[in-house]
Amino acid sequence: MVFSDLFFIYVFLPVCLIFYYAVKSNKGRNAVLALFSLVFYAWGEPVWVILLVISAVVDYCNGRFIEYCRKKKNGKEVLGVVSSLVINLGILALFKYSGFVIENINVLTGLSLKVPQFALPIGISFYTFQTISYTVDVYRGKVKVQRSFLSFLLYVSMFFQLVAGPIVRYESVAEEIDCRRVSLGEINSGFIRFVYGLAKKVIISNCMGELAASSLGFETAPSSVAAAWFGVFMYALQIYFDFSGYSDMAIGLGMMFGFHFPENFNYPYISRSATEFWRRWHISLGSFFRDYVYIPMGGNRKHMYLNLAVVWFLTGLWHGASWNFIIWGCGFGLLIMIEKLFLLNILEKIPALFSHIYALFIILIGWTVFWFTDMGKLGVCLKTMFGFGGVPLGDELTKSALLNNLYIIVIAVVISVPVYRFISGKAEKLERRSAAGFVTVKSVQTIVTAALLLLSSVMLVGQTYNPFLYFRF
Amino acid sequence: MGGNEEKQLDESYYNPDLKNQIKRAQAYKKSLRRYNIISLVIFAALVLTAAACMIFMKRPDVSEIEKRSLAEKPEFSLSSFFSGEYTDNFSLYFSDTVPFREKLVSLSSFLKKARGISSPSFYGAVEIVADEDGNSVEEEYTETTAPPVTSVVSSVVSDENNETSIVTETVTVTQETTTAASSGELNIADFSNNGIVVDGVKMYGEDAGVMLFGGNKKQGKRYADIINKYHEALGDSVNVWNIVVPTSAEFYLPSRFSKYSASEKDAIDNIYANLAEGVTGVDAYSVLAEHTDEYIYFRTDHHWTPLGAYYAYTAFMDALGMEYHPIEDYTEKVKTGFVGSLYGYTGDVTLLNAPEEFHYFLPPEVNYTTSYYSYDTLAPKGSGALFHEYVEGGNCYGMFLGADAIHTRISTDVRNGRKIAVFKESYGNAFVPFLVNNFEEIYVIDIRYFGTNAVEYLKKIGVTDVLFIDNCFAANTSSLISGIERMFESDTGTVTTTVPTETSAADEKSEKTSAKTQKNTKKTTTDSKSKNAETSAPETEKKPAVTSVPQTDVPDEKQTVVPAQ
Repeated sequence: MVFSDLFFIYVFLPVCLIFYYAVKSNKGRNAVLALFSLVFYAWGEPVWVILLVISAVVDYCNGRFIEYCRKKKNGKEVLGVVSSLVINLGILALFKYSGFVIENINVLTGLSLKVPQFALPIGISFYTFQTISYTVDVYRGKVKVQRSFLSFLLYVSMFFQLVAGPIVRYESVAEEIDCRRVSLGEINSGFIRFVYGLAKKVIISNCMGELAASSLGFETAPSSVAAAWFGVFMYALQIYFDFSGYSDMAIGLGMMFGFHFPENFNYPYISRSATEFWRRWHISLGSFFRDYVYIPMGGNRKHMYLNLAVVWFLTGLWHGASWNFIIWGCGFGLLIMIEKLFLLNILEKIPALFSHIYALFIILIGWTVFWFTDMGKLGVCLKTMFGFGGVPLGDELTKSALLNNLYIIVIAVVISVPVYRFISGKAEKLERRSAAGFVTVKSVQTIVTAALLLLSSVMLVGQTYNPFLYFRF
Repeated sequence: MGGNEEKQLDESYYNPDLKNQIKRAQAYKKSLRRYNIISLVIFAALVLTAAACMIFMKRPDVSEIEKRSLAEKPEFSLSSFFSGEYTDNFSLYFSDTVPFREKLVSLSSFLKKARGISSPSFYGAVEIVADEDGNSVEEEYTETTAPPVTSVVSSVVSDENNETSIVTETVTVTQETTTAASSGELNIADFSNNGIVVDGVKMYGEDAGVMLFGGNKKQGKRYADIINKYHEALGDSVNVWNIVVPTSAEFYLPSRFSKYSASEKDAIDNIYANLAEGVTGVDAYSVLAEHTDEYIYFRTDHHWTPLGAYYAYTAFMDALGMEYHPIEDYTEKVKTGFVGSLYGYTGDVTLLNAPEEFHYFLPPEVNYTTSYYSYDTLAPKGSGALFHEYVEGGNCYGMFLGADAIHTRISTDVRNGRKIAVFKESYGNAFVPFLVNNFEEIYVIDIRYFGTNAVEYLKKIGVTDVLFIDNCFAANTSSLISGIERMFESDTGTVTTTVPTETSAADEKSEKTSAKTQKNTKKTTTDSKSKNAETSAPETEKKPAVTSVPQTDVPDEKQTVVPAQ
């Protein structure tokens, strides 16, 4: 199941909330939530839900094993970590990368080994990382071991962040799993946050997605230079609104159930360098690699550039089993190294406008690489973008796509910079100043939320009717 | 927190300013609590009301706009659950059949239009296929263009065999989209020719949509080749005719979009040039080109109007050397509020807001009866109407001939010894009725559905003339040409029945099995109508005669949305 789905919003979620709050004890609530989470997951993966449970069992045992070894002082704790890494990464490798690896072996050696055809189980990249982080943190003594399997299963399977993150580390929810308090205020803000995320996804991202697909989904070449840039620009908006919308929904849902997840996005497109971009984009992934790969390898102190190279290779690979993701990750790694060497100093000194242009430029080129799994098409598109494609500068189709969606594009651009933060800051001041201000701000907030929910729902119904969408996939 | 507040209160005793501040903070907290409750009640009411509507209200099962049946509630089974099919189909069912769906879809189309400044809107994979003057650029032709054709997976009056056969036929027709079907996504690319342009296009001074022509000369030659083969197989005693009909793109596309639509004139010339001696290509193009200020193409539908078909008919009569009535002799009738397939394809409200009139013409001075036969067994299905005049709204083009997936024979009181077989796709539907003044018998064969060997069949019924009439898209589209080839090569063994007669031996059988059939047919017919299907051999124009007629305009690809059973 996904969040942006009528069945989820109007059946699954209300039913889950009702059961959840009908039960009073924390343990009971955990059980309700774990059960609903498994149903949520099984809805899309009726078979591979077993993988999720296996991953949970394995790391639950690993945690207990490490604790046991500690008590016995037999020094075998590390085996728990090894087992976690081997099993989780093994699952990930098998399901996500085996096909890719064998294809490449076939290409390199001329063999024709059978390429395994696994359908990628939903959320596998997220939950394997979460269970690894738990075991490692137990080993490091950063968190206490979880003795209740139910609580641990809940941590792994929590449906809010199961499908698309954020990667929630055990330490950030450890306390809340065993003891949490919810207030009406938080349920309310959680719901509002969920609706904002939903609107980001349904109203903006889906529209940008259509536009990106029609410009970048070419057979031979983009129809014009403008079409290529327009397509990439739309894709940048799509991927940001899609991903951050999902994170907003996850964070909002979490709040409705009493969990507090860390933020995952912080206006990435206002960055002034690649380094800054990665501090603002998919924060939970960046910090995962920092804390579990980069720093253990030696961080800034030992062979920093090697560490960086490994981290960025892995970051790319994590996004998908295809060369373009690896190129994308390594490209960012390279840029970050260059920035560390000297570029960052320059970027900080030059007028902000130029460093913004630099950052946006590399981000857009990055998304171009990210879009095309077909290397040939990627080459054609890049060539076209820089005027070597032998196609006209502009064309009717792109012009009409731009004009047909001008308002929503402008809105998307405005929302992707911190305008909302500015407005909500002002609103908070206003509502504290006077009773009238309070009523105004809060009623606007409620009305806007309700309107966005209805609008998104209508758009979701409209999407069941999309004869031309995805025509190229 | 509590201790802190006390301390503050304590201080405030001496500091009136701070006291005020604390008062304000307390008042703020109180109103915040009240707000939270009110707000949550509003949200809960909203969600629960919508949820109640979705769960308890009657769900639609057909979409008028899209002319397709909506997803069905899947049957639960362990195997379908574990394959993920059940949950997928359930989700599809749940969102596809939301109560008030049509209204909500229109609303969402309206919202989509509000996303920007109205300007020409392109739908589909539009590519450059011509130069600025509209001359085709041959190299850039893409392999698959597509049929703006209509079809119905008809569950008309049917017996068991018929039902299965029709399903099979559809699979053949839509095979290019079956992969899309399984994932629940539409893949219209194979059917969408070169896309559609709406808004910024006017016809007869009003808003219109135009389907852009991709063109494919290789396919055009293949089309001519197979017609030549028919000629060869039938011998010189049978006249073989061909009419390739240009579409509205040729005459109404603003010149600034010329490069997105290939020249249909070139495509037609290419086909006619490849026709063998003895096969006559009829020049319908010129006569249509002369009348472009008249209402010869629909603005909101990809078909031509009956008037356009009449002009092509006059060209055909000239070629045959036959007399024909001037259009004034016909009884002209009008339906209003027709919004056609282009709206269904694009969901563009510009078209919804520009409904058009549907004019049709009843032939003068002739008596005729129309009989229907199943396509695979040629079992008679009873007689019915030629004009199904009860059709309304978006279904108007379904007026002629009944469903596509049924074989039609019209016998008239003309006595000139001429019998014609017409091979057609949906463009032929508007054309065929004009022939009743000129032939003793007219056999109508839809190239997508006919299940047996056509040459064998033509020989048996002893036709004097054979006409292939297809719109320019269809005549350049691989899957449609395959249909004509299939009928040519089809195993003769499947022709089990004799030449169709008006006996209705099979009718009883179909009545017996109708209860069974009814369950199966629900997919393509509305509830009330499928009940009528029990009376499977209607004598007259009664509605139940051809239950699926109102849906004649179902585009092939839409069928694929319905989850595979």
